[in-house]
Amino acid sequence: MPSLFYAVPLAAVISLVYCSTRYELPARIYQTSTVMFVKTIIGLAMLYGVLWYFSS
Amino acid sequence: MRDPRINFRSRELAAILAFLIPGAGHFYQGRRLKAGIYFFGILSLFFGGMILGDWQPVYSQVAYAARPDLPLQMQPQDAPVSTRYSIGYAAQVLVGLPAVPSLIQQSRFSSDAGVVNTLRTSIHSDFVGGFMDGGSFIPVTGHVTLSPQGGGAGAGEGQFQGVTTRDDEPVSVKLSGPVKLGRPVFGSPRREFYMSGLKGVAVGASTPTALHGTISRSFKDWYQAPRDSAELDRLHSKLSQNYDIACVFTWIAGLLNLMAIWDAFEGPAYGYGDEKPDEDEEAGDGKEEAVT
Repeated sequence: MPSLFYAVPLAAVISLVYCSTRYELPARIYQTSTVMFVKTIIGLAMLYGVLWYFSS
Repeated sequence: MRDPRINFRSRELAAILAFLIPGAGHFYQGRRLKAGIYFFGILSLFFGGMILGDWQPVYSQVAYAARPDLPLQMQPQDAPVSTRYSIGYAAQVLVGLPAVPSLIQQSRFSSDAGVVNTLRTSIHSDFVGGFMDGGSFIPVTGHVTLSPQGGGAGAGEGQFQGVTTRDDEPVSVKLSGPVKLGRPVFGSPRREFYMSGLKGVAVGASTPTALHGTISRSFKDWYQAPRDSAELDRLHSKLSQNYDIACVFTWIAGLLNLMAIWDAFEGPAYGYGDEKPDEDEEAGDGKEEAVT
């Protein structure tokens, strides 16, 4: 498995645990952690795209 | 301010439980969902990192040899090794009990007398290394069986069975002579093994006089034990960037548990989750929009 994909479970756990420490209500935890996870993956993908563009 | 809807019970006890086992403090408080999230989330990250890093990313100390001419495992008692703490362990230890073996191993390592010059118990282990014949080295792999030799100080007798790694020639020889073993507790699954004074041993056309290499070390003697930079180099060479990723996983698991401990003690940082936005916040947003 390419090392890059280790970022997916890492981002998922960080998002879920971090948001659990922010709120108590399950629905709010799920909602905010999903948003955080998606934003993190999009951010990492964009960063990867920029680095790939400049290195190619 | 703590939300009155949450039953914190004893906050101090909850924080201690949360430190020892991720999620245990929340389970004690009856916050089962959070207990599950912390337990499975943090521990899967920690043990995922352990598996990715061959169970070796967690250690509390790095050791340095006093005598650079000898490997750290073979340092004698009169040349005590120096150690420094691993910065990463400051994060890893926050996972609690799963990282505690490092402290036990640190204590065992520091009370260790160094290289073992006396064979006291039998050895049955796989072997990787080679026979020394003057200046030449004949690499071999196989199995070594040794027992303490009666009357000889530290000597052992037994046999080696294996093959030469260059041309797969079978080797089966009887061994007898003084044995030196690497220190018992060390953060490497391989233990240094030196046997000298061999007589009447024939490997192909050579008549070697010594056997140098490594045998396996038991899990309880290497798991989370202090190691030297040579062992860290070996891990990087074997696992490449996976070792670094494994370390990051275990560091982040510990840092996440720090937030979970605080949640057990003080409650969620932003509130229960059903609050309406503050009026000041809304007004602030409005002002900002008006300015821009």
